[in-house]
Amino acid sequence: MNMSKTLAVASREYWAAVRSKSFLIGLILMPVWMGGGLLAAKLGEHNKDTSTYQIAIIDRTPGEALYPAIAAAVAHHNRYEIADSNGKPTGPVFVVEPIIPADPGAAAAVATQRLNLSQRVRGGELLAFVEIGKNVLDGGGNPFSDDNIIRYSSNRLTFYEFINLLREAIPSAVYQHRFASTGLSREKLDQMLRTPAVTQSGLIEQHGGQVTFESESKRAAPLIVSVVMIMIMFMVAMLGTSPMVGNVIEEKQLRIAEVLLGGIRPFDLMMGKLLGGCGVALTLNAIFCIGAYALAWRFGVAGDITLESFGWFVFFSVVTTFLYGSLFAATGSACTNIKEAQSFMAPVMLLIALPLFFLGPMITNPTSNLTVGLSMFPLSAPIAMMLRIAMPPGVPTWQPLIAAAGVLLATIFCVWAAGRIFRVGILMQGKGANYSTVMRWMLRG
Amino acid sequence: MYAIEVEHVTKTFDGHVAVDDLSLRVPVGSVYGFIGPNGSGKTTTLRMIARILYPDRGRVAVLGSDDHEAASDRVSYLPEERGLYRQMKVVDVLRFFARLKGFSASRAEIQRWLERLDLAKWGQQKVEALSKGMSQKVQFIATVIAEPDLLLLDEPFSGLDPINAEVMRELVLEQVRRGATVLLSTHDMAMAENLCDTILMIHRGKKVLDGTLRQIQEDHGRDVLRVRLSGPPQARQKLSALPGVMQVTDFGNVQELRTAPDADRQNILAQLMALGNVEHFEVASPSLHDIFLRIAGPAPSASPAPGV
Repeated sequence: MNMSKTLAVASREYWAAVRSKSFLIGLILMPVWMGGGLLAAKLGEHNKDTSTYQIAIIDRTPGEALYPAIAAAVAHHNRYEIADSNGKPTGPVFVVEPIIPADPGAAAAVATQRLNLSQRVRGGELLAFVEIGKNVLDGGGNPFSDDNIIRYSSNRLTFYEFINLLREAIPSAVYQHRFASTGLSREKLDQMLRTPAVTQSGLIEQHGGQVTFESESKRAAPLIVSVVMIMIMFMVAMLGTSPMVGNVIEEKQLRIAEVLLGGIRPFDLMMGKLLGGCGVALTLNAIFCIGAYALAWRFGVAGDITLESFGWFVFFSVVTTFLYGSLFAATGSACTNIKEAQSFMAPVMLLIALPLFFLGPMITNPTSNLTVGLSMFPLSAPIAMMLRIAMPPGVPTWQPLIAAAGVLLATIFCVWAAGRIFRVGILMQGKGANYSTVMRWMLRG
Repeated sequence: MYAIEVEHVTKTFDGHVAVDDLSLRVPVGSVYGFIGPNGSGKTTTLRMIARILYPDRGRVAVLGSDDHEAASDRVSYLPEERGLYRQMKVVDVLRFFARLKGFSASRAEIQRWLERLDLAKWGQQKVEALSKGMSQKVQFIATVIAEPDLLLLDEPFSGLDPINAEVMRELVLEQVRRGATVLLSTHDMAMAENLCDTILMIHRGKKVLDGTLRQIQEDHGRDVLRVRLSGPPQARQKLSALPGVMQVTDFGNVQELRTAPDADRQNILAQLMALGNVEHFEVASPSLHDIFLRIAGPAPSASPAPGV
């Protein structure tokens, strides 16, 4: 490889990228993307649903025994839980409407009643209707039969407030009825039925001779640090390398590639582009990491960013840039215009974003077989392993080393394969290549 | 001593033979002209010499070396369709392309080139602000700034007005005077005649002409009669019917008659005098333009005269 020419290309690519508008936009937008969730949550807090909802209740228990408990819970909710201390509305108001149950012996009548109520829900008059089985109070028989369940029917699948109210109010009322025969007072029963609270707490730490529980932010720090690290790594690698597709296509369309190839080998040219992209990514990394570290310091969690985890972060960032960059360079060289590139990009993007689909399960259980497997698989390892390194309980030292070796080998293979595709594709004009052609270029060079 | 040696080179794209068993030798310090119709294989040959493409068969030696890497810094290639980064400043583009040739161009050198080509005030402008002619001149500077030993110029004069074409011609000659070898392709036959020491014509991937202009013209014989005939317009319409005349090209003031190898020129002159007043009569060699058309053009429209 001719390093001097490769560095000349890398330097051009770097300065062309960092002076572009898209770099500036990425620089500004990335914190917005990353902070978007928090911002949305904050906005959500200030934009609560304060509507009034009507719910029909069909209580088939003897004497409609549970309806009063529901009505009482609703009254409590409307009185104490729908406004903050300043009286500002913070939640929905509920209105319950008792419905006389249809004759349980007449199946058609029951069905008609349900249909009518469903129509009222569809029409927006009702939020939902609730049917309380006739045997709910004694609890005998098949627990899943209509007679033993409380059915909540609505077309608002994501509205949980009222169903949560039912889940809190009804069990207590049912137990009250069941224990009433024991002759115990209501107060005694309440005391007996009270569920002890299970709360989550951090570890103990010592500050100036005082032993205290870790603060909420301290407990959340490893999770936040790891998620921020992998988001920075992923977004920066994407920002640094995805423009390569457009750049390579531009070089083909404007015939710049011909001039370049008159002075530099195709592989050196591609490596120059990858180095340039890597430089852009590292610049962005530096900017965002300084910003993130300043925030971490401000909130007292900077100590959770260890030198070891930062070292792995830099390593995985660099190889990820080369890995993604080689895929994008090969994509650009195989296409003759942006439209073609879009269809080629779809599977590449899917491959790149794959580990992010598993982010939830990985965070929930960082030691599961799935997470460990993903952290060892080269294409997902940078993100999955980074997450495991930064989150308790951490990883045995050999695992990041094995993952790093795998990622390194995969990157070398991708760069090699992309180089072969690039060598042929960069001079192709007219019709773009299809997948089989690209495969042939890769195998035969 | 040859700057370029191409021996039995063949290049195929998806079953289409672009260059077919081509051989040529370009002497050091010469201007070698490549002519041929569009799609004849000129650019593919230039790209193989520039090491951008690899031949399927045959040998390409450049500046004495078969090694694809060895001579690349001493060879500069100007492609037919100019390729410059539109968002870069002119000076940055020139510095970048010089670096790709292993040459560190100083600010003063770049400025000197820009001044020579009347582009001094455009140095700090982005390429996208330049006109087509100016871009072409910038591209030419990018090609020669590293002072290469071999220049491969694909259509260097296309799209240039006569003034700029003349500037470019002078710059090419200056490179030759410096000691460089120039291989250029062109559709401008007059430029090829005036500029090139040797001319090669390639047609459908095969070499059909190779030699100096004089050699090529001699090979085609002195079969052109250049005449100026005044008189009624009908007289000129009868030229193609003259015995021994195979083809007539009427340029308005001058008519060129291509004659059969055994045509009797004295008889043709007599016939012309019978048609009108012969103001000019000259036995000439065919121009490069004529030779080009004879090889690559459609079949002559005028039928040979009866009895020829």
